[in-house]
Amino acid sequence: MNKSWFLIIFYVIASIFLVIGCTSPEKYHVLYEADKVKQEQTEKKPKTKEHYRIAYIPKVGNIPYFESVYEGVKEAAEQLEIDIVYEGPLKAEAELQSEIVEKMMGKKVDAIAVSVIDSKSLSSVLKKAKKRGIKIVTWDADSQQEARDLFVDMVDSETLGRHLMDQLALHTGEDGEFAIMTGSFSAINHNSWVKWIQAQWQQYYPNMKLVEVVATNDDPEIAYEAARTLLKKYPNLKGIIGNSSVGPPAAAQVVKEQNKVGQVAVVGLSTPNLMRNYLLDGSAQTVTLWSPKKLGYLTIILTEKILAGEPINDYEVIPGVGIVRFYNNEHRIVMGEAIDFTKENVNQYDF
Amino acid sequence: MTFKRRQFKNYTLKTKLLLTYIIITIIPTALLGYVAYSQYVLSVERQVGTYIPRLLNQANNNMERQIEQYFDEMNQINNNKEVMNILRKSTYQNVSNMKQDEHLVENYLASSFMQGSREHVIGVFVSSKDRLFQNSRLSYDSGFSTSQSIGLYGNSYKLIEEESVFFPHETSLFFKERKPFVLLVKQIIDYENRHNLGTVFVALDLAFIEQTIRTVDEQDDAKMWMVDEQGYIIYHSMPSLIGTLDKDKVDYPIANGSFQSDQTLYSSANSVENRWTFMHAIPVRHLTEESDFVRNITIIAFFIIVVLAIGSSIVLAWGVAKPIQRLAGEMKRAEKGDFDIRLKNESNDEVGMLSKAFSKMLREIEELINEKYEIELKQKEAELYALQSQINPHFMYNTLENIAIMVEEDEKTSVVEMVTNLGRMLHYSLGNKDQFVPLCLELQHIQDYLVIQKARFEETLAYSVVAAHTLHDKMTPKFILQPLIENAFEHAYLPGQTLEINVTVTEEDSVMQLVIQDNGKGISSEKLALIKQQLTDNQMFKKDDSFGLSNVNGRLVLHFGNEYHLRIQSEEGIGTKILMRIPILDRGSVHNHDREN
Repeated sequence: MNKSWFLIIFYVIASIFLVIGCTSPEKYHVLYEADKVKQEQTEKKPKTKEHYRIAYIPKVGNIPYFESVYEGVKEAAEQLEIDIVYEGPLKAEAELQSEIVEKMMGKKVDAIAVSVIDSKSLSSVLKKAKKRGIKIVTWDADSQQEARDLFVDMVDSETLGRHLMDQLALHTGEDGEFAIMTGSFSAINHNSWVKWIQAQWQQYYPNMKLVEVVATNDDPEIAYEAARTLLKKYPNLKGIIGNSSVGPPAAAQVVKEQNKVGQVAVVGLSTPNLMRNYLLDGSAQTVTLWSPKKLGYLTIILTEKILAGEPINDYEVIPGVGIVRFYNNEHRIVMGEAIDFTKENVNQYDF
Repeated sequence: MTFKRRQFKNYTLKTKLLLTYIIITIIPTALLGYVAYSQYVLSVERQVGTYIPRLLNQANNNMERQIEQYFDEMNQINNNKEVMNILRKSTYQNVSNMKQDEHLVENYLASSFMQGSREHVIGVFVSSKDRLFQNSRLSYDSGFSTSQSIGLYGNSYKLIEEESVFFPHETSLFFKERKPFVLLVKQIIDYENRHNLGTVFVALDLAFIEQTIRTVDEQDDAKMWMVDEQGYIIYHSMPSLIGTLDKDKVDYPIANGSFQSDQTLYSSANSVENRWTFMHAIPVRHLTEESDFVRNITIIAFFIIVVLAIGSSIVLAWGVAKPIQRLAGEMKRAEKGDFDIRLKNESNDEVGMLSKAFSKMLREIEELINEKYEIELKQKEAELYALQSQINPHFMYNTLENIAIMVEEDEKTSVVEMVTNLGRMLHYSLGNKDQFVPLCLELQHIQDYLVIQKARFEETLAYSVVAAHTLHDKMTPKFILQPLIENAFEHAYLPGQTLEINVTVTEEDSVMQLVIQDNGKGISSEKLALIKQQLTDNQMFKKDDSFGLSNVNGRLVLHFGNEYHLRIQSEEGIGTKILMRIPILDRGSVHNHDREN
């Protein structure tokens, strides 16, 4: 009786000391640990370190605009440690581009970023590639929506088209004949701009007259010839809008050669580097463009995001780019506003 | 352990009970109280420990949002074409052009960063291509010889992140009075040309942190601070600590959550976007202030319970132990022979039953003893009586011989008298067997005896029997005087000398006093001492010369108690005086036993 009593008391006391003794030596005693928000964040980072292979295909390989784009592509690729497989068609011909896409499929790329020459013909090839699990991102010029995962648009085509028309009207006194030199009739973006140029013309400028829309096929020589033909064909021509980068330089060159500086206004889409001299000597008034470097950069950034499975949000701030719009129903990104280059500011830009 | 146990074994029942009570009441109560209180405190700590990190997280988010807003504002530079134009320029043809641009950019900085609700912005700096544009509320020292460079971040420096937050110790920037600040740094990127144009710096007053933090906790004792990864204190609720190192930072077990150390509850929340950690410390005492009142009450209640428990256990222990102790004491007394024990009949519990049984046993023992004692007494009495009632055969022989001489000498009247006396004596001794007789009868008897002896001894004997009249009918034990007178004849007689025997009966102090005095040879002092010893020892049946004395003494003591023993005064050659005291007894007050034997 006595013995068991003492044993019980002994054990009770011993266990109390054990409990006290176990808790005391630790300096800090954790009461609560919050959810590991931080870890999730840090876990994502290494994923992006994966070396993706992305095929970069412009409309045509050797014009300054696409070269500028390629600079942005390289910048992003370097930053994200991505392998870029670059091949551009020697001529802006749909068949050539299709061949390149086929070739890229064989090179086991993770994604294809392409500026589509001919939406119709390329879409089928792109669909094939997409079926193989290759992510398709179109930029600059779109394909059919089903054929790609994302389209990186530079500017809103309505805004741009209307703006180009306004620019021309500004320099022709809202009067007279004008012509449009479009890139190609098969490119969705070119067609869309032409549509909106015409819409703005019909809506606001009744005294002006669109005489012809010609295609340049993004070829400087074709463009030059086209410009010459236009000036010859329409002696009263007061303005030319070029909506692909080869258009305005060709037009300005012809205007300059034929001493029609001041009589024929040249506006459109082109790069500052191509247009600098024409702007400075007055043979062209304004060219409008976005930064092709930025476009290339953004395209690769977004392609990488798609490969990594990260979501893209409307009004998202992309580091190094700024705010972008995302239209989820069209899977289309709009990079931002276009810049007008004039005599005054053209020297600020180096593309 | 065994030693302790042995000790415990030896404790009294009371102590054992007391200890046991205390152990089974106080220890569980204390344990319960302690466990309950500590659990309560722990739960309060847990609650606060989950709640504060959330608040801190909120503060973190708020701060991140605010910083994000500042970064957004810094980003607005990109949208200002004029400023961008200036920043894109790299060469100047003359000083005035450069000054003009400087003025333009600084005006822009002033209007977009220093006005309106942006009171926390101390200064804004833009460094670009070896130019510095600045607007600052306070004078500052960039740590470099000229104001051309505000720190490490000139044009060529490429930040890893486009946006960064720097703390004062990471920069070489000092504001007047060492005003603490946070430096937001953002690269100005020419998105279009894909160039790095420079860096914009915004120095924020710490007041903006304070404002964010203040919403978390406004308790006085709470401390809040913000440290970077290295433990550098960016902000502290005690301003003097700003800029020092938090040395304990490396020891903090977790970055998000709460932990406790040394009576202080720490909470922390790590910024997701940036590199700081919000810390919050509050003394546990502060949290448990309200429960401390409850704790004090509990402690007081505990002590009251302890006192009550000890009190009641003492009462209980005594209630059990006291009767047992008393019982034990009584048993000891009984062991020593004292049966005069009357236990109080207290309760009906086991102890009460035990003491009742014990009392009953004692009573029975006592009765048995008394019974046996009385039987013995009666036997002794009877024996003494029987011995005393016999008439000495020597006396008979002498008397009869005397009578025979008298018959020869023809003294008829003397013979008749002698025979009458003798007959009366025989009748007295054979007659009624009462223990007690009236004094007059006893006196008659000794007178008969003395008359007979006088006839024998003639002139050598003189006697007197004197008794107070009032005492004649008082009772005395039978044959109480005759043995003493016989004794006098036997021992006091000196040949050739008249023996005087005087018997006086008086009343003194309500006691009958009988004195038998003779003038015989007396008793030597040694002998007297021996006799006195024999009398007090009550050695009645020693068959020696003093048999009569001891017999009488024995009977007196038997009847009346020790204080009524015989007293003897004697001196050699002078005589002996025997004193006897008997309580005055009326005829009805004595109870005469029938004598069977």
